[in-house]
Amino acid sequence: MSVTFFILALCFGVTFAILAVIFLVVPLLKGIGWMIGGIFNSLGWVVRHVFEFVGGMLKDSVRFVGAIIAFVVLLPMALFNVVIGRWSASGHFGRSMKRECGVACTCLYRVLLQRPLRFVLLGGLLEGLEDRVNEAAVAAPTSDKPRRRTGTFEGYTIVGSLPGGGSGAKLYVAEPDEARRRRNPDLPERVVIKSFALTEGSTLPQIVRESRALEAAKQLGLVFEHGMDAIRFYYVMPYHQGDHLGIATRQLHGRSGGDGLDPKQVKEALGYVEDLLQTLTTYHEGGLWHKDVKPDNIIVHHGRANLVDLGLVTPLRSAMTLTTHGTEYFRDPEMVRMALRGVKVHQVDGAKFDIYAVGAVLYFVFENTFPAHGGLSRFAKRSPESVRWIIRRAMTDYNQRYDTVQLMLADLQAVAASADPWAVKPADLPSMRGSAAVAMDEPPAESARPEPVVVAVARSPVPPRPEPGHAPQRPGIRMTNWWTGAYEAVEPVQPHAGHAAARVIRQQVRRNAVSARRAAKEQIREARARAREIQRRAREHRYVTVGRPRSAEKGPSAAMAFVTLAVLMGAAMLFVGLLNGGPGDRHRDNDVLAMSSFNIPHADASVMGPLSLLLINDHPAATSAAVQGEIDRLVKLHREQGWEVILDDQEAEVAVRMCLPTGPVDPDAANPLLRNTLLKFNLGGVLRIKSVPGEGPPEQRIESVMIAVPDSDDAPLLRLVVPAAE
Amino acid sequence: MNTLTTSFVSRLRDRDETAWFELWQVFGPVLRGQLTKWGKGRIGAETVRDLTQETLAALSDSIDRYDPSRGARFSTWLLAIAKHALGDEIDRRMALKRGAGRKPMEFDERFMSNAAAVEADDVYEQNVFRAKVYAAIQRTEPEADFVQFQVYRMRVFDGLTGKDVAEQLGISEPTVSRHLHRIRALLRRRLAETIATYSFTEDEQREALRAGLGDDDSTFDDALRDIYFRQSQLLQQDEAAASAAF
Repeated sequence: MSVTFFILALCFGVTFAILAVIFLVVPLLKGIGWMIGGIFNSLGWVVRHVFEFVGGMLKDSVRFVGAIIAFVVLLPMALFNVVIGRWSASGHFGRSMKRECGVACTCLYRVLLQRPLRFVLLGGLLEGLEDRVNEAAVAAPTSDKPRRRTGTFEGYTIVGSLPGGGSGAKLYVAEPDEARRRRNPDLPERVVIKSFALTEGSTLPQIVRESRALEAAKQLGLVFEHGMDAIRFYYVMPYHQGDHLGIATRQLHGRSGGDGLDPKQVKEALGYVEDLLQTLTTYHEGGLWHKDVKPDNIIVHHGRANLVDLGLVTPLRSAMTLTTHGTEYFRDPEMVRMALRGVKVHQVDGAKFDIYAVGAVLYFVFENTFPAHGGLSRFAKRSPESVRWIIRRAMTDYNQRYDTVQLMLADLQAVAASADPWAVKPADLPSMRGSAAVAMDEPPAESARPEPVVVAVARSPVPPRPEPGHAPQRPGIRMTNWWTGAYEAVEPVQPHAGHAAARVIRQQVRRNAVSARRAAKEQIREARARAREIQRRAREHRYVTVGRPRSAEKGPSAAMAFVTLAVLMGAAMLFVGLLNGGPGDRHRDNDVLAMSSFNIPHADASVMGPLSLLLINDHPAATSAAVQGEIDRLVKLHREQGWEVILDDQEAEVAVRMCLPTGPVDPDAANPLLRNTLLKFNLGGVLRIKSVPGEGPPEQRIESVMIAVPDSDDAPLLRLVVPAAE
Repeated sequence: MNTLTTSFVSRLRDRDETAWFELWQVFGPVLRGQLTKWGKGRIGAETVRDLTQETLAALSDSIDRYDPSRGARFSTWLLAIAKHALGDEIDRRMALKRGAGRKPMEFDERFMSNAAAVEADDVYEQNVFRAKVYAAIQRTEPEADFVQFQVYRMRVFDGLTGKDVAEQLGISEPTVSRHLHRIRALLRRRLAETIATYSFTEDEQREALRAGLGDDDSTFDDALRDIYFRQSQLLQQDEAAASAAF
């Protein structure tokens, strides 16, 4: 009894000891380790901090002395050149002295003020001096009066000036006199005159660019009048007093404590962006694209944001080529790519680039920094999830972002109208209505199977577009003055009654054709199913394999399958071709390719679609002699069967690669994306060179796979392994 | 070199502006960071920006002479040219400082033979690799469905739980899983493609697997999140330098 008790007590004691070690000693040791690590880290930081300070002081001191020496050396050289009358050289040395002087002053400032304060962790004291004072100096207005040779502006009294932008123009604040105001009652008390003078550094292209959308801007009330003479071009626009949105944003964050906007500031910020979107609505409805939406061009006054700067305003229907003008971080990179490709303005929807810029402005307002990496920019500060969603939707891919500013405005207003913006979920936004329901309707996942290559075409609903019949169409434009860009709006042509009748007939014919095609497709599908069944049986009997060739006598079933399939499909194609009234649209539905594991199918245009194969070389030893030899052999082999093998079509190759499966090919997986891409490039298939897994040098492990166009979107990928050379 | 790399290099050789813009977008921040490091305070951020453009311009001039059989890595290749451009710039500055106006060194093919000898430290190699992965994410975003990509982003990059994501978007948790699965598959594809495009050697192509971007989903997500954050930091630094320069 006592022995049993002793053993039990011993077991209990040992268990308790183990548990104590696990739950008490281990965490204790961990904690001690963490503390020691922390102490060492802190010590390391202090040592590093001291060394940085000492090193920096030494470096700056030495640089200061060096700059003084250089200054002293340059001084006699500059003076000497003045004495001998070499003005250009003396100017050159004078500029070098100025640079050395700047270096010396910077070093002195660092040694006396910046480094000591940073050393005692008071670097924040200098923020205002280094950043804000500098910014204010850069943004200081230019001369209040135009130069004498630029002259005055008749009917206006200049009362001040504004900092000029990148266009080389001068901006003057002016007051119209009584006579001018009587003539134009819309003129406010103060206006801004933007003046370009060839004598003051402006160039003709700048003037042409600025004048491009002037008439349209006048119609929208954005410009009151304009004038031009031999040396000068100017226009008059409303004056909005206040700070730009960048400064307003800094103030908002200053009031919120720096960790993101508080609810009150969120409302204010959303209000600014709402104003911006409303202004852009006017632009876009008037057929204009602002093209330079950024915080610096948004003036905040009395709680209202005003969009200014018409420097890049462009008619949406302009026939000109896209340019890369705009401001980095607020300009859609896709626009740059399109511009580099030479796309015309009227071929794109410029309004969408403004939407991108508004998304970037919204990001800037909430994060107090630029969206450094476009739509993928991270959110580091506190903000409602719905606002993040709006920003991302505005800055996403060109085809997936908001279609109009009105849609974005509706989403923003939904958030702004809420008592608690954090309570609004993305699902509650007007643009998301319907998306969730569609997402729920998707078929269940089949995680065990490899992913079919259809991801890129499965799009969720974008914000609803207006019905085509009821959509407010943008007015057409007829140019009346090519110099000023003046144009008049042309109402969209209403469909004529006769056109409507013709449309009904066309629809009827199309419906008949569709039902006929459907019947034909049904037959093709049955034929394919039968062929697949035959193949399956053949595979069970080891007649058809993927890989090495089999002797012909072993594959009567497969050969039979091929013949049956070809005959059935040929008949079906003939049927579809007759229904469609000729070969015009044949390649959409008639592009069926018979497959065999034994022989390369003969290229027959009456049965198959396009007869070109694109060669894609994915072999790791792509340039080796063995692979190149195999390619030559394959090209010859396919050409004998009537195929044209395309070896170098980069555009097609890149597009096709995007659609090729990377993993093992599922014989039942549909790949409509690949099919459509191949058809787009008029290709009948792909000939892909790869290496097969195994031992030995990769040059000896070559596999060539022919992937052919399937007959419909939901048909499986047709795949044929071409036997390697013996 | 695989066909993707060769076709990309061919585009560069053909002076395809889109290809150059792509290269600038992907590797510009890494090169700027490296040049700033080498400059050791002697050159300002603005010059670094100009230098990086010079580097790419030099690349444009020399790309026709590139011989893939020399076995240099893509990253080393870029680095060798960047180093050469920096040395050239510093020499030019020294010459200007002396007032002699000495002509800068001619850009020749020396960098090519020296490419293997250039010391590419781990930080630089990691930065180049991260730039490639980040480019793959950037390529995936426009191609993927917006909602599906946002689901992945909220779940993996923003760290929300599956339940929170489902609640925010008004969808079920299984739908969230499906979206994650699809985007992951697409990311893997684009990753393979992007890395193949910007790699000259097989070792460079295997970097993704070594970084954990393999078949295991959770490791893949963790590795991708880590790379996304680090690359974001690099871009923020680059942006801060740019703001200071202008």
